[in-house]
Amino acid sequence: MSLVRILIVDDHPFLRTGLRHVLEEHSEFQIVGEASDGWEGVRLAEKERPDVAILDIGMPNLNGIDAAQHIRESAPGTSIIMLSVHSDESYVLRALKAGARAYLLKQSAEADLIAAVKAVSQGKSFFSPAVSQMLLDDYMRQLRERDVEDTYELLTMREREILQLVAEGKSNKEIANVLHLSPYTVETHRANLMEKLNLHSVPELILYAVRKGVIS
Amino acid sequence: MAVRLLRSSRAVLWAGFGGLLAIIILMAAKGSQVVSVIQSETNRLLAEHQQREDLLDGIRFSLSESASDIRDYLLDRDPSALAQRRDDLQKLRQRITEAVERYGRNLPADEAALWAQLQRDVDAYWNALAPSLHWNAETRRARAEDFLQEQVIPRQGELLALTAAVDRANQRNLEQSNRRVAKLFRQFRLEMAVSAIVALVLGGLLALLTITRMLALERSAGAQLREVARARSELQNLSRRLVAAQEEERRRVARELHDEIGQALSAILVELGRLEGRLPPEPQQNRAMVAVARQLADRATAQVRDMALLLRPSMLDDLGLVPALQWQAREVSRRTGVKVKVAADTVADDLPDEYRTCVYRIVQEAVNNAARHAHATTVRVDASQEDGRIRVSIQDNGAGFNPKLEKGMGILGMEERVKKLGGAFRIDSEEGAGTIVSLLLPLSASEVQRKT
Repeated sequence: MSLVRILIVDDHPFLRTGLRHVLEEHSEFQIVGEASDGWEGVRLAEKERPDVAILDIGMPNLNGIDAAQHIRESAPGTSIIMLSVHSDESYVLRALKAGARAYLLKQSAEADLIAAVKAVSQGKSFFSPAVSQMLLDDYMRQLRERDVEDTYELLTMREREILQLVAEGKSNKEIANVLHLSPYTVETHRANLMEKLNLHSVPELILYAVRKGVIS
Repeated sequence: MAVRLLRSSRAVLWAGFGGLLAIIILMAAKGSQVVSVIQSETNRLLAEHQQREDLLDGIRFSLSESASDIRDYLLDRDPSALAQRRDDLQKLRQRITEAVERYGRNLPADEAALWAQLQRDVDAYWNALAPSLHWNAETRRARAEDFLQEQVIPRQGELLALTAAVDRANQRNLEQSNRRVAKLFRQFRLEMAVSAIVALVLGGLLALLTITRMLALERSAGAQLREVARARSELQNLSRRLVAAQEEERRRVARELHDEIGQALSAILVELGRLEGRLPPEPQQNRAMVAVARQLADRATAQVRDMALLLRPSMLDDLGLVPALQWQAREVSRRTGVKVKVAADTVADDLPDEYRTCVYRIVQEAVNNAARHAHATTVRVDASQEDGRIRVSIQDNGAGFNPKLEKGMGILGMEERVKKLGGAFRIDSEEGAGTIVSLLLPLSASEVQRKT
């Protein structure tokens, strides 16, 4: 496995050091830079073009969400892991919209960090189990409150497969290869399932998939 | 000061206006009395005068009659008529004597002498005539002419002259009385004029006093009003600054908790995790100790996070108003089981901080009240932004209350926040009918411009 180049952006030096130590215990990871605020992180990402950028969501000057948007533009090849103390879906959705592929709780950073870095470096998504659990709980409670049917039941098997693959970050072409379908068919299925679930963007789809436990 | 002024003026004004009124009433009473006295006096004088004139006329007429009667008596050749004529003359004498006596009643002093003379002369006249009535026919024939010429006619002339003098005196008397009445009238007019001047002066003084006092009262009331307004605006200013200072302090403490303590705890958790990974399986005790430390740090992290969020939700600063409201709704649902639905599609996430904070805090207070005090089962939060205004309503199906009677600090605080931004705030509630809290915030002109 090739070397994964990593940028750590967090305003707290102790945590930064801790994360660095955790990552350095694995030889396939290389720390290419550390930044203590959003702007510095954006500059370093543009310069170093890391494979993975770990961003703290709450930072002075430029927060993690805005920094993620900048990095996605200036270094499109960099996968973003968002670090946060909040497990609420408003943060998760905003992080996904800003281009993050993984959402990690600081409370469990040490345990989940390696899995998260590995997942995003392979183009997959990752969410701390506590976050997935919280999203699922909220979703189920809302279903109960509104007394509506779970829309997931409306999906066909094919649509469920495609939902999972889209949520994992695969393109239509990749999905077509995996399922031996034409890219157009995949696109049709994808549009149908988005309509059935009343979703309007890939981040919303990912959030939905996490809520349903389709991906972790 | 105003109260004292009011009280002291009151006595003066009572006395002043009372006095003025009394003077006017007295003037009117006196005037009416004097006029009626003058009128009745004048009438009486005129009546008396007329009566005397009539009496005098009667006397004069009777005297003339008596003279011609005497002549007829003396010259008449028919003896059968004599007794009758004597009788007539006797009656005439009696009439004249009575008239003179009546004239003498209520006579003014200066006329008394003339009258006495008239009375005497009348008696003398009759006494002089009396013997001729007993004359026999020859005597009458012999002396009648002479008697008439020498006695009757001159005496009658004297008497007539005397009555004319009495008449003149009577006339003079009337004129005198008229002058007296005129003098009385002049005096009355003078009195009236003096009273009117006194009333005018007193009235003027009173008016001056009243105006002065009123102006003084007005000034003092105005000063008090300004003082009250100033105190109120100061109080308002203070309470606004208090709200702002409290918000700033909460934000500072929340950030401190999150940035310093929270981050340190996160770092500790990472280090503990690494330590756990390096510990050999034996002795198990060491691993257990690390696990306990991890649990403690974990719990502390959660507590610090909850405390910070309670003080000032970071979503409000990181994500904006609507995500913060939605987070709050989920939090309340998680903690209390109350269904909270937020509809705020048209509200921008990048509202100015003070607007975000205002709306968030009011929704927080209202939702908490609904869940905690009103025991509502569902709460609906609607927020919309259009035409440079933000409209928010929070409706619950809880117990409700009387907003006029129960106005706690929470509601006052909400009102204060809305007022600070120049908005309108109201609570519609009734016991058993739920509660609707609504507010309307105008975005400042610069803010509206910024958006367009």
